[in-house]
Amino acid sequence: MATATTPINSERWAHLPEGMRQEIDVFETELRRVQAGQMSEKVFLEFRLRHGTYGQRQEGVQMQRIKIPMGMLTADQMTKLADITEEYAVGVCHITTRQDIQCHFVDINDSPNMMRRLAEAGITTKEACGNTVRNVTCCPTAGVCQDEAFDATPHAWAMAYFMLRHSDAQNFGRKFKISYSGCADHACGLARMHDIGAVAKIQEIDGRQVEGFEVYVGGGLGSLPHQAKLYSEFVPADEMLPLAQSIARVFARLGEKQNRSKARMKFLLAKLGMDEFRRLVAEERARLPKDPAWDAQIAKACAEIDEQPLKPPSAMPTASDPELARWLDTNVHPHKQDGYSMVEVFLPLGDISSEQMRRLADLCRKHVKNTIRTSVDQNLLIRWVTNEDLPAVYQGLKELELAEMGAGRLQDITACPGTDSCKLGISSSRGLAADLHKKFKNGMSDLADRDDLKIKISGCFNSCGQHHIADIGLFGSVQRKGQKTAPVFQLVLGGTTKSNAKSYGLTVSKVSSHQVSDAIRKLTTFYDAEKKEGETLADVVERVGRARIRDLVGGYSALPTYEQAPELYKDIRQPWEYTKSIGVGECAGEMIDQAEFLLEDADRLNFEASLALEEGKSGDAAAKSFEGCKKAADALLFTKGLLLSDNYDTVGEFRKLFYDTDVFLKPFAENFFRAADEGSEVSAERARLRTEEATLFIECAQGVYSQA
Amino acid sequence: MDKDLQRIELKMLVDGPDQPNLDSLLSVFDRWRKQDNAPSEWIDLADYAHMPKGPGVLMAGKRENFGVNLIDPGPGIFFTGKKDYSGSTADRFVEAFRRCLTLAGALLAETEYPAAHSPRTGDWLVVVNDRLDFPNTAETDGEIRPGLEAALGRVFGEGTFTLTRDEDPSHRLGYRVQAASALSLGELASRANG
Repeated sequence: MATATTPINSERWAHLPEGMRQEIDVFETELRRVQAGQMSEKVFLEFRLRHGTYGQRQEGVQMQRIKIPMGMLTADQMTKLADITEEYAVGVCHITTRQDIQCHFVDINDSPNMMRRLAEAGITTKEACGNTVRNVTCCPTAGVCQDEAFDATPHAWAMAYFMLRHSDAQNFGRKFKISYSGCADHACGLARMHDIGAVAKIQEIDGRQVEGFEVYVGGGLGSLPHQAKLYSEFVPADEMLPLAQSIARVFARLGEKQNRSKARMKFLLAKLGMDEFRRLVAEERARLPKDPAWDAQIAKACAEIDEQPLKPPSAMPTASDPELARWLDTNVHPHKQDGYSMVEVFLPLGDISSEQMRRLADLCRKHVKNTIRTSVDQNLLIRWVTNEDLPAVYQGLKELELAEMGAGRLQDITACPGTDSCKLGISSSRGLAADLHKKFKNGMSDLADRDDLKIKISGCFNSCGQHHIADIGLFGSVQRKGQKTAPVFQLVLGGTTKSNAKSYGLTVSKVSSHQVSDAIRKLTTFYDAEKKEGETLADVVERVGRARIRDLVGGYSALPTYEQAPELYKDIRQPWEYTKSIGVGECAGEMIDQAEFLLEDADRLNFEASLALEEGKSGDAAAKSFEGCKKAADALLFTKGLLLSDNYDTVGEFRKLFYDTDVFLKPFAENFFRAADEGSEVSAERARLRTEEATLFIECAQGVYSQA
Repeated sequence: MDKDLQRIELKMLVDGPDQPNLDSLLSVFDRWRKQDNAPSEWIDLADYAHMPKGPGVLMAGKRENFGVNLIDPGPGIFFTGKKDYSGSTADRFVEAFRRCLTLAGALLAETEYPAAHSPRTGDWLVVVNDRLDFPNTAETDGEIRPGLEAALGRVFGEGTFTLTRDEDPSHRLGYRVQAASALSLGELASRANG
């Protein structure tokens, strides 16, 4: 079994991009160190979250979240995802409400090789979880949407890769979410529920049509949802990256770090007010050193993203087969480019098996050129399908059991993982979604294809299922009667995904898990009877008042006793008695200061230096031990407000702030300065001495930090 | 062979409809996950019954996963071994069969097991669930096959089965094992234990 000192088999992975290979090697090193008791569990927790490795409800296994920026997938990536979920998880790829892929029941010892194999396909898990910039989402129809202002894809891409690993995004008190929308009216981008939501817009400036974005900030769901506020009616596209960097700096500097439940940026914005927030952001913007990456990332995105169809355009076929006709109606959407369509693959509960994913990749290779995207509705969208191919695609999907009709309709329910795997889950969101899915085929089939209502289900109040923006939202709760507790769902009405999630719902009543389908039936009947021209359910609820709605469904909150109805004291699809069991969510785990991470890096590098010495690699050892000292120095400089992205001179600033001021033990500091002058071409003996000096330097830095 | 064969997957196909109702297994696995000191080191059950051709309902464990899945070529009782195999290649496959047959016997003895899905004890898939060290190539087949055949000889009887490799390079290294005449589950288990 691998131990903390077992060398990592880097040779095997030499073909990976250097940066990614090293990053994953570091992950494996730290994993072994924490397993050997050489690293703080607390720091490792945030460290592994920042690699998308998330502890499940069940002890000893992980959920691995895999970042899919903008939901963009190639067929080769789909094949790779199929392989790794088959071997390391339970053979299921789960699509999340933020366009990521997750897989469950992973042994953490498999995580490094999972990451390496994903890296072979250009996929990273970095910063998929943790107090970082999470996956940047984008309309899955961006680029082919008939209503978009322009294709937001390259801009979202540039943002995703600019902010990934950015030094200004490493010291947040909580997660940070960014989304891009191609237009204001449709639901796809959900701009108003993000920390930064960008809605594409074209403005005429000096006679030119300039691409840019209407920018909203400070949105977020969670237990206390906040609508994002308008930050600017127009930000030119080439200003988005520096704007995001400036906002990140303000959030990192002023955001709450102690009280985890108040640490999202929405709370900072509420505290400061928009005027002060804008002022602070402008201040940061003014002092940002020019970063060539601002332009380079967009240029790179425009060069690399060049979606093309595989086949020429063609006419829409006539469908004599009624099943094909129905599938064309519900699952196929028109492109803005004539002759092509988008095919939406409806995945109940967002799940696709490894083999289905693999064979779907094969099907895609026959019909399109790597133009597949995940959606926040937990489906897959295949773009650029030439119309005459649609019957063949349908047939191919049928053979894979992936031709279920009704994508985007009422039966297409969004649900978070809930009590299946999440520590915070209270009721079984997936059990309920599966039960409703079954009922929409039998018993509620008359409602299944409605396109005017959406159901979203969360396992608890934290809204990972986005229940706040559903027409009919549900979140897991519990109700006690005597000595027994029953799983229930809170019904949330008044939300909408329309206009980028312009309104959030409020709770109306509790409903037993087993009675949700009845409540939905009642609500839809009521809505049909009451609605006026063009009214959404939210409009009706607002017009008639919540009291009336409560009268309608309030009866479901009256829970019979256990003796009267024991079946209500079991969760859906769970034939055992329900008990509420929640743990500490890792999503809101303890915040780890960037200085702590840097000191941890320092320890690790010095440890690697000692390994290099054992292998007779003096130059490597000297370089690593010096790098370790630099990290420790950066940690202390961070406590003085210096930011890595300011590109300061570490040795010079350290001398000024810690050596000249007598804060740091001078002999140890002088070793550091001497190492900076020497470089890494030193004798074996000197390399060994340097490693010992580095140990002392890092220890001293820990001491100074502990008193900062 | 200098590679460490640990991830051995077995699947015993069952009769009955392609989309069996697996809900009754939820109660079974609820009981199993409460077992103390189970050799499989159970973690929890996982319910994927909503997926046609999916992983079905299963128990996830540290030593192996086990359950009934609906993946092609059809529904079957599956076992995904993960660790604690030692000895020769043949020893490891025999051990995998021993563990799988023990669990299968326990599952079939449960009253809730759907009777319509009787096991086809002579119709198996054997998969090496490890593309990294055991890619699906003729070379790896050459490394594995002798040990696998020896193991199958011990479990099913020498010369009583056919072994056909799945040559699809996108699939894991895997084989269809079809016995000429089907021994009972008990007989197979006894031979694997022997």
